[in-house]
Amino acid sequence: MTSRERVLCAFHRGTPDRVPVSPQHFGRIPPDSDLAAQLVRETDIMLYAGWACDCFVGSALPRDVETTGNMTRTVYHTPYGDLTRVVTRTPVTSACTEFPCKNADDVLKLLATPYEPPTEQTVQEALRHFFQRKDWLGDEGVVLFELPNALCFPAEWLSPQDFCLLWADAPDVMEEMVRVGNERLLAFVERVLKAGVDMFRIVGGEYASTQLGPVAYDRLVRRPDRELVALMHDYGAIAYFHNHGPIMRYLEAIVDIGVDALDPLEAPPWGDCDMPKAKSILKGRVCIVGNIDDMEVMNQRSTEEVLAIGKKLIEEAGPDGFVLSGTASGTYGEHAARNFIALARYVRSQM
Amino acid sequence: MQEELKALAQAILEGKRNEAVELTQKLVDAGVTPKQILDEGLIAGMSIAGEKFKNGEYFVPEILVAARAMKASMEILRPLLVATDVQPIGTIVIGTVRGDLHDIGKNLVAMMVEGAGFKVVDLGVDVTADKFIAAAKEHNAQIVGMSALLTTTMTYIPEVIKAFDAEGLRPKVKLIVGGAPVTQEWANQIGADAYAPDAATAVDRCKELLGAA
Ligand code: B12
Repeated sequence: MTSRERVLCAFHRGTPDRVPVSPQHFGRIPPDSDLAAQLVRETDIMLYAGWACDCFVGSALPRDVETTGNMTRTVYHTPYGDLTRVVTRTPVTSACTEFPCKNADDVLKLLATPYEPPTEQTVQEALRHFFQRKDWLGDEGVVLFELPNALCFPAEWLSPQDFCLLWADAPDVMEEMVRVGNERLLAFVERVLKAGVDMFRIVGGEYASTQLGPVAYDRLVRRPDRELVALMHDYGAIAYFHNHGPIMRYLEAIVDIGVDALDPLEAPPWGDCDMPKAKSILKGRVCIVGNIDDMEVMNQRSTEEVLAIGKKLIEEAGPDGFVLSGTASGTYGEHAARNFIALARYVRSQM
Repeated sequence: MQEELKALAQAILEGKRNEAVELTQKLVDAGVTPKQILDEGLIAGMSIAGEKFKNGEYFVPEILVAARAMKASMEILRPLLVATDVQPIGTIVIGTVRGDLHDIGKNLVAMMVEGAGFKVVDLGVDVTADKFIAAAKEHNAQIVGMSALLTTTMTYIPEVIKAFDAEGLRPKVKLIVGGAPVTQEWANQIGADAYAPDAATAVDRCKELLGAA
């Protein structure tokens, strides 16, 4: 099997010729380095590409962007008043330090603003990015189109605290925001499906699972994401779901959404994944992708230790419907890359 | 008034701000001491909320609205507590360590500890050892809490501990640590005074640190 066939077989819950070993993207490895080339050659890498083209607010919302020092301020002009976002950079990282919507009223302003879908030009750019990467990778792995779910609309437009308070104080407004977000998202996804995008990585479930709890997960994730996944399946595309944090109590909901694959199912201390139990719930229904911690284990432990953990995982989660991978931190480094290569060599030696 | 105190605890637990304010006023008017209203109404309610969070029954929104109801009631009680010379049970300085921006968990700990009667000085995220030390001195804190969510930032916690040692602030100031990757074993290893896996347990540990449990 080629790497692509191997991963696809696992995504379809089948048993490939060997368990795929798939680093998620290049982490901190420069994509044009020898090590990146070796990862592509030796592992069954998964790359991300594309973006959702601001489909939640669309192209009609006028905005001004200004960068001063380490701050970027974006002012969105709605007919009902301005909404401001500030992103601040520090030497180590960057983050949104002011979110445009502060309360339910701001959300309603945003939702009442006339909407136009993303322009053809922006969508074409995202598509070009996806297809170029897919052509470049060929059979050496898979490329997933990165997609927020509808819950990302409130989660990206309100601070974590105001997001939680919106759910507590005005759940109907939160549901409306997610409903409208999903409508716009579905229209966008249909456009890229028609253009031939065949695999999506859906993110956002964790905003409900780590912050809001199971009732919110049911209403704000399970219900809208089911529609999204059904649309992808109508076009024969793969729906891959990303959800950080404790996951065991959400597995049945995720099965119900109908996704093909799920990452990263973190083990303690970051999550609560009990792999044999998770496998018994997901077997034949959802492919497991994970779950060796990128930063703590892959990037710091010896290759012997990582191999021992990998072997145990293959026993617990494989050989069907399983992709041996990290925890999607986006930060794995050189040591982790070498450990991924060692894992790939190990599974190859077992064929 | 026992019934009203119970009702106040329940209003806090359910995050009913207006009801909590009304009941607090009613209890004050009836001559119940502010200390008793604080302990048996507000703190009692927050404490059950913390337990529910720990058991996975409550999530972040429920804790936020409970803390908000408590704050509103405190507006009424604070001047009375000051007048009757009731002090906070202790002062804690808390922050997420340098390089780390995760603050959802740290904020919950701050709210729960405040809800238990502590004065809380929240330094926010990306906090350096110098800032922790300056704030501990300025506010005469008995406890400093450090949060880290990343493998790469938790290693800064032992540096802060060393800095507190070097300043001669320990054992007077007690250091409590937490965040998803932090464990009791690691906390022992680096010489922290306490660790808690969640916000409700953090309250218990802080009280123990004061010898007030
Ligand atoms: C939300 C989140 C974010 C948000 C944070 C928003 C915010 N304002 O906090 C954003 C998107 C900004 C983010 C960014 C990043 N994140 Co992040 N994030 C998470 C996530 C999904 C949830 C964390 C959370 O809020 N949990 C809910 C709260 C309630 O739980 P908690 O924080 O554990 O707190 C409880 C206890 O730990 C304890 N506690 C907490 N603090 C304290 C303090 C004291 C004194 C005490 C006693 C107790 C205590 O009590 C709390 C309440 O009970 C986790 C996933 C996970 N599995 O944890 C990843 C996770 C922590 N993030 C991770 C990573 C890698 C990152 C990034 C590097 C990603 C990237 N490539 O950029 C950046 C780093 C940014 C930075 N410099 O900090 C990794 C860390 C892996 C590792 N081994 O270190 C995780 C585990 C995800 C993963 N597997 O990849 N993240």
